[in-house]
Order: sequence, then structure tokens, then C-alpha cells
Amino acid sequence: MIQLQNVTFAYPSHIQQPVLSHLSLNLRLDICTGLIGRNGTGKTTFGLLLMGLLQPVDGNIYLNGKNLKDSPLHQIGSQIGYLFQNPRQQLFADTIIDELLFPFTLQQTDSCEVRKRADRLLTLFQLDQNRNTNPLSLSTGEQKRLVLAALMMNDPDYLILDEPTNGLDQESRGILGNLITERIMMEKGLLLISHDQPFVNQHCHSVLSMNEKNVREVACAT
Amino acid sequence: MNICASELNFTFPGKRTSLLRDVNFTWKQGQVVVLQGKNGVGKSTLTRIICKALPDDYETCISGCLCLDCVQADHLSADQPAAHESRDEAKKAESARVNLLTIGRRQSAQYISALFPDPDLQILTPDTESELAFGLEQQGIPVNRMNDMINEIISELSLKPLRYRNPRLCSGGEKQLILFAAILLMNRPFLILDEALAMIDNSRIDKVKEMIARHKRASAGLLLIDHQGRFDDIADEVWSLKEGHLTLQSRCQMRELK
Repeated sequence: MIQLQNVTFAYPSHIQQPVLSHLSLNLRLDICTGLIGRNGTGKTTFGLLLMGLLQPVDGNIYLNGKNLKDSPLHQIGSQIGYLFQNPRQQLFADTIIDELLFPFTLQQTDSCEVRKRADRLLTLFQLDQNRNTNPLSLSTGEQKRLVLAALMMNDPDYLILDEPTNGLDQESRGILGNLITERIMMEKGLLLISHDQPFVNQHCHSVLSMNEKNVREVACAT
Repeated sequence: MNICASELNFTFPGKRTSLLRDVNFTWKQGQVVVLQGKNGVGKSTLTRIICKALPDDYETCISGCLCLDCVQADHLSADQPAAHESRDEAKKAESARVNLLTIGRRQSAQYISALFPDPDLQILTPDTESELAFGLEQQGIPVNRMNDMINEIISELSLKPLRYRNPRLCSGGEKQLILFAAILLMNRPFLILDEALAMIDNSRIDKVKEMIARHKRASAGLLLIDHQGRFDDIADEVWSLKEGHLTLQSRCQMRELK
């Protein structure tokens, strides 16, 4: 469970105009939650707060009972995976396969099993033909698939996907849809920040709507 | 004015297989074209070739013809008038032809504007108003006229709260709206929107479509890439790129958009 207790957040440049004001809500970690709303209402900011990449001005956020303020970023990162709107911002290895193996190489935990998992994910996300290609030479949709594959290497408990369907063709949307279904079956949830209403309707069990004033639940799984 | 490609080929350095193979098209002013295709098939590369946004090193990777007002290739357009019945007309067309593969970027930008999926790469200035003014200043538009144009588009796209904000600190959708406004103000004959409206919310997409339609009526040619299919209903033609080949997927009668 992710719990937000009385959370207020404002950017330093607009301290008088908080993006979130005294927000309290609970997010279940075992379902797919959609977050919708107009441009600029703070959906991405909300996601970055849950990830610990931004700190509330006031209030607290708890991940499984632990205050995010007391959790180092790498610890949050091992539990929550985040797909940014722009996948280029989170690609840095020279080849696709190195992108998947990077954390394991860094921690010197690269093993035969890890490489097998990487191979499986490359096949699942249809990137196995290009494993030695530079990630930055891929198309936007392929880069998104690569980031998703890299996130799945860690198998985090929760995924935050910010506009995941942008740039994805129909086949890739299908792959993403299957991934969501599988994760829900494993009781590992997601937060889907998206303008893609059909995709949200199809995959989310609960939908939160954000406007300039508040966040409210607009649809809920029966 | 048309942009015509004939036998256009592109192969990335070090690759054996060509990404684009004998691509032919005619993209006319006043025509909205939606370009479809799977991820990685080369849609963005094709748009970057058209607007000269590829690195200079790649120039040798391109072969074929890509011309402005070219009349020699029209494999996609059946409704092209019989090409130059008289020799005089042919000579006239020849003299008006601009080779888009050999002209410089500055000259290319006189004809074609483009927006790409990542707005952060195209934001130039520290506030929205300056971003909108930038292209107009380059064209030497008088200040009063410029202010009117900026006020008008800010009002139309409801960008007032962002007017003095740094676009880089805006949300993804807001960045795309600001750049869309900026590129419309440039008023070039051809406009490429490569997944450049993907993050704009549904409440504003109708307004965006309306503005595209107005631009089309003012004789602009628009080439759109959008996987969500949000612009299919305003397309005059839908092109499909598959395994390097471009085909005409569908064509509507040239629409009179509201």
C-alpha cells in the first residue's frame, strides 16, 4: 500500500500555487490504477513524489508503512520502477543488452541466470534482433519497450508508467497490455498516467482524476 | 507547391538492409497526410530526411530524389493532372524545382517546419512568450503585429497561465502545446508533426484539430504521425510504411474541413 497523508507539494518557483494541497489517499499495490487529467494538473509530479524523486513540502508518503523520507532512493528504486514520458532520459548504455545488464554489471551480480532473463525479456519485447544496437538509435516506441524490459529485469513490486502508450504501435500496445495483465495476476500493481482513455478503460481497476484542486476516484473495480 | 519523392532510399551507416526502399510520394500543399507504420519502420527517419533534420554524416546514406514542386514522380497520387502537356509548362516546372536533399537547413526551413516527439529538444527560450515570438522575430514581423498574433494564439489554446513560465518546467502536454503554437505562427507551407501532439489531453485535441484544419485551408500541407489514430478523421490520405516501402493506405476526397 502507498499512503499519502496530507501531502502538499509546490514547485519552488510557484510556491504560492501548490500542485497538490493536503492530499490524502491510499493506492493499492496489487491493482492497476489509472491517473487521468488535463495537461499541467500535476499527474507527472504525483508520480515523481511516489518515486521519491520529489519531496512533499508538507505531509508524508508511506510505502508499505515506511516513510519515503527515510528511504534512500536506491531502496525505493528496487521496489518501484518508473517509466518516464521520454524514454531517452533513462537510457545510457551503449547497447540494448548492456542496458538490461547494467545494474547487475555494476553490482557484479551478472550471472548466467541474469543473462537468460535478459534474453527472455528481449524476446518478449521484440528487441532480440537488435541486441547490440545503440539504444539511442532506436525509434521512440522501441525505446519505450527497451525501458520496460530494463524495468522488468529488477521485477519491482510496483510500476509507475507515465504516458506509456505514446509512440507505441498496436502490437506494442498489446505487449504492454499483456505485461499489465501478468503483473496483476502476480499481485504486482501499476499506476498508469495517461491520456489514452481507451487503454485506461481497458486495463485499470481504479481510475483517479486530477484537476487543479484535487484528486478523486472516478471509477472503481467492482 | 508539392513535395515529391522519387526512388528515395536510405540505409543507416553500417547496416546492410535499407530502411527506406524506393519510396515515392507526392505531398501537396493543402493536404493532410497521416503516416502510419510499426515502431522502428522508419517513419521518423523519413520525416527527418524531408526536413533535413538528420546529421550531415548521413547525407551519403540517402539516394534518390526529393524535390519541392517536383512533377516527375507521382506514384501515390492518381488525381495529379496530366504532367505538363506543353513543353513550356515543363520548363517552368523544372525551373521552380528545388532539390531538398542538397539545399541547406536554413533554406529548407523556409518551406518546412517540423515538431518531433521530444519537446525538450526543441524548446529554445526561457519563457513561453519568447518561444512564440522567436520564429516571428526571425521573419522580421513588426512588433505590433507580432504581439497580436501571440495574443490570439495564446487565447485560442488557453495558454495564458503559461505565458511567462519557463516552457521547460511545464508538463509534457503543455510543452507540446507551446511548440505547436510556435510552429503554427511560423506559417510555413509544409508542416510535419511527428508524434508531436501525443501528450495533449483530449479536452484540447478538438481545438488542435480545428487549428490544423484552418492551416490546411490556408494551403499548408501537413504530415502527421500518431499511433493513437486521433487524426485519421481529418486525413486526406493515409500512407503506410512497411519494410521500407511506402504505400497509399487510403484516400478521402480532399476534405473541406470546418
